[in-house]
Amino acid sequence: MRRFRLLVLRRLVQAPARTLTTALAVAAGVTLAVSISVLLSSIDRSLDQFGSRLAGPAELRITGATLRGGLPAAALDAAAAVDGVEAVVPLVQTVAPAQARAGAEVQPALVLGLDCRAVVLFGDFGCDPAAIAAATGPLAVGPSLPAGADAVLRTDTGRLPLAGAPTIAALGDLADGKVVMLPLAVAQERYTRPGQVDVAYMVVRDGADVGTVRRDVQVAVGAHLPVLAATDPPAGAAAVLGAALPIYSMLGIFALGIGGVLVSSTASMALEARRRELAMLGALGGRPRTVLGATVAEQVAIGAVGGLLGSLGGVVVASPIIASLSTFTESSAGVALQVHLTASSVVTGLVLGMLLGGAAALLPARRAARLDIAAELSGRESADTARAVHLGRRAVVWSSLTVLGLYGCWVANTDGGLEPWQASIVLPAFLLVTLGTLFAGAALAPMVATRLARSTAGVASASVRIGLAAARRDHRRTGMLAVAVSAAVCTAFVTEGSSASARASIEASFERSGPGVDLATVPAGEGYGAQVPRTVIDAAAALPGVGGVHQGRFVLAGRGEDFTLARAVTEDDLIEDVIDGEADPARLDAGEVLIGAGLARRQEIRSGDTVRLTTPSGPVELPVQGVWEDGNNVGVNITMSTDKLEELFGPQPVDFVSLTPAEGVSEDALAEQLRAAGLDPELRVRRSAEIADDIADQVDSQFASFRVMQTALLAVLFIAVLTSLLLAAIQRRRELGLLAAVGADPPALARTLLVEAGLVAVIGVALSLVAGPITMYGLNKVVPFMVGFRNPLTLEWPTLFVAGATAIVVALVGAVWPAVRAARIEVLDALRYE
Amino acid sequence: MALLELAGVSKVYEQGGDCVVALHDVDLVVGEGESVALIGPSGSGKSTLLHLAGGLDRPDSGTVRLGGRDIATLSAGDRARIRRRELGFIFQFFHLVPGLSVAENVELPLLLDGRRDKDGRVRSLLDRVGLGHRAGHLPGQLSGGEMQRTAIARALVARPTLVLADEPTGNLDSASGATILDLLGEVVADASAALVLVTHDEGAAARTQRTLRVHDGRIAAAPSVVDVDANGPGDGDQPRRRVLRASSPAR
Repeated sequence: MRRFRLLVLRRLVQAPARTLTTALAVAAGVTLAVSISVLLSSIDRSLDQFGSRLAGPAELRITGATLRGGLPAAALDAAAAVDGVEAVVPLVQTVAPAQARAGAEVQPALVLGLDCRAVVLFGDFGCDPAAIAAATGPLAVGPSLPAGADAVLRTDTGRLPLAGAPTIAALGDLADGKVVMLPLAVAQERYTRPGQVDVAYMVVRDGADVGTVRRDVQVAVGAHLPVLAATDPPAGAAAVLGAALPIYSMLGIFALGIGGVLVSSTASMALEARRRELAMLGALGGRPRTVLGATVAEQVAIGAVGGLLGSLGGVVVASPIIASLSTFTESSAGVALQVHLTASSVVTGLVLGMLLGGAAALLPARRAARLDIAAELSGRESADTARAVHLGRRAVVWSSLTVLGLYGCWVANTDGGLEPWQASIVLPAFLLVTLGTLFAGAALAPMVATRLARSTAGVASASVRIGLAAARRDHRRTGMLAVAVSAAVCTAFVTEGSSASARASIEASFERSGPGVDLATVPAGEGYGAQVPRTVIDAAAALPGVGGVHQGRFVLAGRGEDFTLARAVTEDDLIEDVIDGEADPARLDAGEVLIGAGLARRQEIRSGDTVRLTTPSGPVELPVQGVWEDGNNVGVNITMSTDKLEELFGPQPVDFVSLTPAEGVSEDALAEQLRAAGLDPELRVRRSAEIADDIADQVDSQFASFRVMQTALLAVLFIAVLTSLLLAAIQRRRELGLLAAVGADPPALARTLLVEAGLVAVIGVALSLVAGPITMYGLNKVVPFMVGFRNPLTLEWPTLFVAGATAIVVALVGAVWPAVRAARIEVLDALRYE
Repeated sequence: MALLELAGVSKVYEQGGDCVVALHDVDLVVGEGESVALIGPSGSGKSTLLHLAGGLDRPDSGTVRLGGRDIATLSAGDRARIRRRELGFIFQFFHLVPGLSVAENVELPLLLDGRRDKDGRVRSLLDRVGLGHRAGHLPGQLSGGEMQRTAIARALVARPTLVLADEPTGNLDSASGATILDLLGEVVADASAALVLVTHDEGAAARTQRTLRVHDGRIAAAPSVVDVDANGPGDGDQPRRRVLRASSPAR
């Protein structure tokens, strides 16, 4: 312990600047990965809080076969008859828009349809069965919803006034107080759930085993109606998060990789600065493992500090991502996500920091343990450092691995990527591409610096020559900084390229589908559907400029692995990109279905096979006529006729309404006609281009987290430049003193560091010109597996140059403080520095 | 004419809470083209004297004049300019920039001054010190003697009027050291520059025209040497030396 105190802790305290800067480098690398942990724990905690509040004392719940309804009355009776079940509380549970008045901003309201059995969950709220049976309006609203005379709640059958409904303050902690309680029958009628509910909470009798009751209820109701713990996340939230989390996890792994490179290089540099001291330890009789242990322990200690700092940083990075996801979970399930920094996130940061610090220190520590003591103490170049660094070989190895990764990405997509093995290789292949380009860049950057140094041999600027010499010699730092620049620039390039690619795909699709307009009475993209009353649809269809009406419906059925989007399609819908089989409208009408590539891959289904779909009455097998590139629900979808959909799931509300113009009528004229008809005070009419723009904007908003990542990487770059050049200034004190001694004035000393930072940043940007498109290609091949849609490859070159310029500026700003410190160096102290 | 004049120079350092008098009221005059050795034990103040002469440090009292200017009163930037244009430094530990080639290290003072080597001075100096064939090598690939020869070339590239050498053979074996001293004497004389050599080696000091003993921060009077012009040609193999008066009596 005393040895640890003397060799490690005291050292850290005596060199606070070095300790802090190294810890910051660890924190920068760990932050992005910890943000994923914060994200997951925040989601878990938020869902748990929501579930606990709603469920009250209930331990279990039965959910319907579909996200909307799907739980028939017979199932409730069967559950109630199970031994150990004390109470069964049926609920309609959905999210609908609420407004202070027509035309006002919509906000998501958690709608609960219930009867007096709900007192088990919510306590006695003065429930009168007779009054509920007679009621046609809301029973109560939460304190956060508008309650004025004109306040309305949107339903499938039109607007429902909220005026007159009592506000219950006790509902303030459920869905942030945005709750509407309706009589069960009213909710079933207003939200198209005839004779069905969405969920039934069950209270288990005292003394009964919850696990046993759960199993018995499952048997009683059938396997197609999941029996879950009362606080398990709602299917809607799980669906949203299930699509988003793999992408964030991938980002987190990517960030950890960058962090590892940064920390490893920083640890190496910090140890390089202590070579003389370590040599003295050896000269005094310290065993190699003492040196090894001391150096690793020091980096682990710094890593712990950095990890804790990274935990705080993780909260900062995760917050906007959580806010972005919350808009989806609120509108789909009424669950608002809050940021929660749990002990597990802090521990994750701490452990990651220590692991990174220790792992990063292993190789440098081994080198330190094998130090040529005599050479070091006498100032000679040791055999170790005199050995040529085979950067070229490393560049070739990593470049080859990158090519291998690209091949893996390409082969994963051949023949539509329908084989399960293709899904299993695409992500590792992409990781190989990203890590390969990073490490190849780290090896190439010093080689580029060497080439530049040779070509600028005639330049009469000491700063440029010394800056390039330092970049060439300190290959680890050069590689690390170039990687940090390249990572920030490539992330921007890939983000904007993906956004542009999605937009191009959407616009192209709408162009191919021909002219048309869609109708809605709520803003698009908020997950409420069109909210167009039947009367309005019928009135619109009767207008002379209307050639045809298409009403889209979909149902989300099943749970977990079985979670499937069932979609109704008419002859107006565009079906293209058929990978296997065919898309014959007549066969659709006959009851055969099309499935998405994701579903085909997951269950190894092809045309001619059957696909299982969970319905309220149990699972059904549907004949498959073809597989196509429909990306909805990440490609896990089944397309069928409207008749078939309603045969399986009963009547469904209209989720979107589109009208095609009559012969000789333009899209603009049709839109004008619909607006002028005054069919609904809040009717919104969008033309194809507007719909495409809105969809593209919604998709683009999902890149918010990537843009946060981009900003975080620029911050990482800033810290990387700052910490590495501060360490470099310490390491090169004697060199700086010598420069001053032979006539470098303070501005010249400062310039050497600024020029080095600028040059390395330029090299990093130059490497991005290759790394960016390579990474974009790889991501373009991964997207169909992660998101479901296949988009064209789009290279946003202007973004690369703008991001590159930004990165160079950030690097120069990061170099300012080290440059100022270099300018203020005490010459004699520096010359004596060892 | 006096090139370098230190008058009444004192320097005190704080070390571990104590005040250490490195120099006490020292006077020193070095003429143009003159070679002077400062000899004394470790801690005697000879290196401090050198640093003050080169503008690397400022005295606590007294004046340091180089070419008639009191450099102690100049700004850091002005002193740096003087160092790269009028002075040449040679250090015990060579102090070459590891990432620059031999030629680039020699060229460094010119680069720092924003000048190009238009007249091939770097190449000619490298040839002069016997390193013409090593111009492209890095310092890590050189022996100690070769590194010091590089440092000598660097010290002379800007045609300085004064070369300051701090224990230039302190990190070399005796054979290499002797070679370096010979070379140093020759190239400095060729350049008509003055030389102040700090050493603890009597043999090295004997190669200069004048030796001053530094002890406990003071300069003792050095024995005069016979002026070669006054005393006629040298006697056989004895080197020609110029006689100068002692700079100041011992105090």
